[in-house]
Amino acid sequence: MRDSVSFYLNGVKKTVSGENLFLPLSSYLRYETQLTGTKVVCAEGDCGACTVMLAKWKPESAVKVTASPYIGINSCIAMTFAMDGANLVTVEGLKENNELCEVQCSMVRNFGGQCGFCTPGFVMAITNMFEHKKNPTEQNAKNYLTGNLCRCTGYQPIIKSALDVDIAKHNTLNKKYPLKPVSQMTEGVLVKTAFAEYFAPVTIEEACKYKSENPECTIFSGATDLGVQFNKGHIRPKKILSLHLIPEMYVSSVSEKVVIVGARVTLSELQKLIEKEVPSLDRFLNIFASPQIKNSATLVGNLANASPIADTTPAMMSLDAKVTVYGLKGSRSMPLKDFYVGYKKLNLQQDEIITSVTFKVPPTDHIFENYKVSQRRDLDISTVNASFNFKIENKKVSFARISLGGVGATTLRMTEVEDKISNVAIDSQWVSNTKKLLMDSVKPLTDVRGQADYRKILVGNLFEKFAAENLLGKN
Amino acid sequence: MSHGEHKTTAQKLKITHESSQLHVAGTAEYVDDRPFLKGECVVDVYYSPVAHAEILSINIKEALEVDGVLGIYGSEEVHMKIWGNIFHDQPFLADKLVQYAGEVILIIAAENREALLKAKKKIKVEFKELPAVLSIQEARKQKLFIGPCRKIERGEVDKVMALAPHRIKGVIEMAGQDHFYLESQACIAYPKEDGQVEIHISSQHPSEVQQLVAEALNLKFNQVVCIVKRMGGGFGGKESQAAPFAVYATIVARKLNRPARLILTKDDDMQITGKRNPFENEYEVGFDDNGKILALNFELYSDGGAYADLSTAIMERAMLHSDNAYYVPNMRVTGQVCKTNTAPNTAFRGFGGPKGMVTMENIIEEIALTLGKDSLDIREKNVYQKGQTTHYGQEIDDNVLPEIFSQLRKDADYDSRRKEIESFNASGGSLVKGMSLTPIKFGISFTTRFLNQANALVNVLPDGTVQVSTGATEMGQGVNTKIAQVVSDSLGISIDDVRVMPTSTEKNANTSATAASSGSDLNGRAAEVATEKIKARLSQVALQVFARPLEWRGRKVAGAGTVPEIKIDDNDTTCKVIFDNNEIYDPMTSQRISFKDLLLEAYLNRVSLSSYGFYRYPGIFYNKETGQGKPFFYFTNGVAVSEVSLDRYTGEVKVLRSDLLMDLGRVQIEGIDYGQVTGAFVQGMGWVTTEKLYYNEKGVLKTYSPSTYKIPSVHDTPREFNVKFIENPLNERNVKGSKAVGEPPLMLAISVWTAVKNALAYDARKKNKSQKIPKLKLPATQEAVLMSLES
Repeated sequence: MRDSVSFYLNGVKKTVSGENLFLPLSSYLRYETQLTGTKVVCAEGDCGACTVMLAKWKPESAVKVTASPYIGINSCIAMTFAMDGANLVTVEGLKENNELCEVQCSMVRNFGGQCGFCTPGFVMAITNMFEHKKNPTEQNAKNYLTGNLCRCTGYQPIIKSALDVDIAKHNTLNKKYPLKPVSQMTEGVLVKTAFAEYFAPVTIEEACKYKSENPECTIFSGATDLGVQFNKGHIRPKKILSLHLIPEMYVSSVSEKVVIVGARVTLSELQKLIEKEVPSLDRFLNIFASPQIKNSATLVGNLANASPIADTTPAMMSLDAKVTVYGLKGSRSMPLKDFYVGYKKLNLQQDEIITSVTFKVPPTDHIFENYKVSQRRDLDISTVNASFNFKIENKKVSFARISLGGVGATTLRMTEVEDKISNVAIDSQWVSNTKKLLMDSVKPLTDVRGQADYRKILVGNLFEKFAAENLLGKN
Repeated sequence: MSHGEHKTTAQKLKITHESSQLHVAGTAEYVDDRPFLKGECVVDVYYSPVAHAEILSINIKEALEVDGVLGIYGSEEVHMKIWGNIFHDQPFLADKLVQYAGEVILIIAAENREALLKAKKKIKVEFKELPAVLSIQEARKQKLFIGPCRKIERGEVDKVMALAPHRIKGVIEMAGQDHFYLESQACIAYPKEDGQVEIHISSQHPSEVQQLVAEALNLKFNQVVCIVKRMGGGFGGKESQAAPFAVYATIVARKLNRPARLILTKDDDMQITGKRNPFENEYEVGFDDNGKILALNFELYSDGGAYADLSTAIMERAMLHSDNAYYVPNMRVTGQVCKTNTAPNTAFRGFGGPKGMVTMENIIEEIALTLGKDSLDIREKNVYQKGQTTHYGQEIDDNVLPEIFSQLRKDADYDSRRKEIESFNASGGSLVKGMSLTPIKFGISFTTRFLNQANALVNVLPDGTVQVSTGATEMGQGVNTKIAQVVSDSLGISIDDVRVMPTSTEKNANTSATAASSGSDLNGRAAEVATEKIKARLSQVALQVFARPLEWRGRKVAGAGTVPEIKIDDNDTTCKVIFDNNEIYDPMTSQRISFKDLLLEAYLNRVSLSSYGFYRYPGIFYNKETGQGKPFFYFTNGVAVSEVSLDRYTGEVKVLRSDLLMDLGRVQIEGIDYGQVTGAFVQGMGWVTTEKLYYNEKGVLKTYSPSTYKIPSVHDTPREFNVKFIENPLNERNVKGSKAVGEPPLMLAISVWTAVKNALAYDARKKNKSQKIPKLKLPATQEAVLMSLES
């Protein structure tokens, strides 16, 4: 068992033990290594000023989905212990022979920075883009910059900088920092300090045993929510369990129209996995958070967090996804809709750990669409979200799944409405009836993201929009 | 074109933001990037969770026991307890009464941040809650006002209004906006010998920080030095509101005799600091059948929050800009700041300008809807013509407004796109479109005359490089780059050889805030004045050197005292030689000497290579009581046309295209000015669309981080975004013929809001709604738009 975590930082090996392991990565970088180029603004993964490039450690068996292992993440909500085995590059690592690299030069010549505080984050986000795209379009650039806020430039000079990078002069990180392996990754990690404990076992059995003996422990994976809770002082977990050394957690496959997504599979990886099979989910994931968040957050984490406004939950419910959990007695599966038993309450025993989520690719004769409404379209938490999975036969609905988020304590499957609207002729009267049924069956709250009556109207209108764009005038 | 101008153009091409190479490398230093010194402690604040309450008791006993806590301090540590820029009404630390949720009560010092967090949770303050006033309406009802009601008036408003063929009466509500500078409020106070303190801070106003810290702690002003290297954004939010944090850090630094670092989290920053003032303006307009405005009556009311801060000055600018770009023969505008239990609102890019202009542009849209005409025709009918005067009596000269209206109408294909939009909307579908073209006429200078002054120190060094120091603070706007350009152009040297030094009160004293878009104008000119003085002296040295034998030059001769010393006349301020390309050239004799060689001669002959320059805008005056004068040195003008689409199902607003045309005089550094324009416009778009401050029913702000407070992201910018500048070489008034650019383009984003209103009007017409003129508040959030579409 190891009692420290090692990783490469700008090509130099770092071994961290004790209290420093429990720091957010950005704090470790800024205050323990004096790499202050990485900035912290929001400490919640919403601004990207803290973006760093990370090549995570993965077991041999994990599917490689990208050409370069380097991906951009928010270092403010990543924990230092999660760097185990990784190769990490910060803005200070970009210079080549002490000269600015091409991405940096492009930002300089195009006035990409004004106050400069967001600039390192944008430089890293553009670096991230060129790690994965050779000839980006303006739309690519915008997508890769979704996770970075700038208050000075209005983004135009930054977009220009991203598109003006001379690819012939650009060296990818994959080339600049070829992966250096950390030894002993087949050994677990156990770190105990006066304040906290960190445990990373290499088998699922050890993990279940630890969880049953330490029910207060928190499982950290992408930490895109836990990292925020930590930074805001809402949580100080005493015991932390990480599953990153357990190879089974990285399972991801599509075979025979069944998609299996392991607990460590990120949303970016999921998006790659299903982009051809479930294009509407791929499109929807484009407006789910930012590249940095999707590179850390996992599908299982998003579902396990059980937020009533989680963006993947309605889609997964409409696809009749199943959750597989593993405990001391072995594994079991259940439909996602039975997994939630109340506000942030899960059907999960003390020793059980979610290992994967499984769903079927919707058949080609199904219409599967997902919607979210938020104050700002991109990188915003939904006010209301909705997922519809319909099959139409003889101008009637023969199969219906309607799932709604943001209008109750959990994501809701509208089974009663589904029954009532099935096998009725589809016409404008049917649309307005369905709209009314949906609106009448939800009792949303008023909060910071919207008034109750606004949410109610949205529920009706999202269905109306879905019907207008997909059902009326078809079949 | 002369030789000199050629070089300037060539130089322009390679000029970049002076800090950009550091920005991109991550090595540009901000306050919290400074290395921790031994013994340095961290500081945090405890603030009120309630909007209005008596403080019954404060218990810090448990908090003090937290391991690592060094001290917790309250108002008893402050000598001058109440402060304010205009009125002294705000306690540095509340002790008996809190007047807004977020008001600071205690300062905590600790060895580390974890201890601060723990201690903060253990502080127990007992409150007796009082009824909170949370709206302008309620404040007006209770007559809770800040400052007097001001008035600007001309003509016979009531008489003409009564006879006007058409009249519209209404109210327009505008919400606040958080600055969301990326770097939250930050400072470090270093204790020095003999009771001195050195403060490094992210502030737009180091002189005020120096003075307030001294007053708050009962120090002499000369015991405090305040230094600003750069800010990670300011936008007005660090004009007045950075100072209290310097006071808190200094209290700790002096109590513990340790460096004290206070860096706010974004969450705390947004809850503690003030915003753009919300406004609720009542209006009545009288106009004729052609849409010509005959009379206007405005009553402006702003939400000042709990304390005065700069709100009365902001109101003044709102009143001065409520004509926007239009001549109104009979006009009355009154302005009253209201006091509520929210954070004290403060300066924000545009100051009062946007709030006056929105009021006017809303009226134009409503006149157009009433008469069934295109709003652009109404605008062109009323736009200022040269020689007309404003409602406060300033003559409109150097007026490009009518020309830029017609140029943009043509360049942006306004009329054909209007037809396309009409047919698009008629054909139905899930989207409805709207378009609107709005102008700005933004007055440049502080409306308070005495603030329009600046000083600069220029040190020329023997290797031919220059250090310039001014009172201007760099917050990203490029003021340092512009100042460096002024100095390098003047001395005929490369901009790379001019370094603008950190702003420090020991070099430049009694300075004004870097605000009102005037930073480059005032400080650039002051630096130019200082440089011209050095040039006048060097010119005399050069002419005498040219007249002497060549072998008299150099350290071995003048340095050894073997030849007579060159004497110069300090009263001779004209430069008779040409400084260009690192050389000094005498056009009469065609003699040349390198800049560096001349500096050596000057130094050996005891001629100063340093100078101090002072500048003030000439000819401005404004009487706040009569509301008359010439408050502005000049106006910056521009026009913008925006096209938007609204999703009928969700209310989603998309800005499809924006075209901007601005008069910035002679543009100095295009990359910087372009970035100021796109940045300000997008920031303005945020104000008019997605940025919604949500307070709960008890007046506590709930949108205090970017997860809930939505500034525009890269996807929100106009899908097509065109920015152009007109050539206006006639503007000789200002430094290098340029015009101020910091604030004005923010107000071009009003075109986005009026375009939304225009789209809603199309929807209302299509659905045959009885309400022809849609009511729309600002911001036009998705929620507000959907509720209006569904109404």
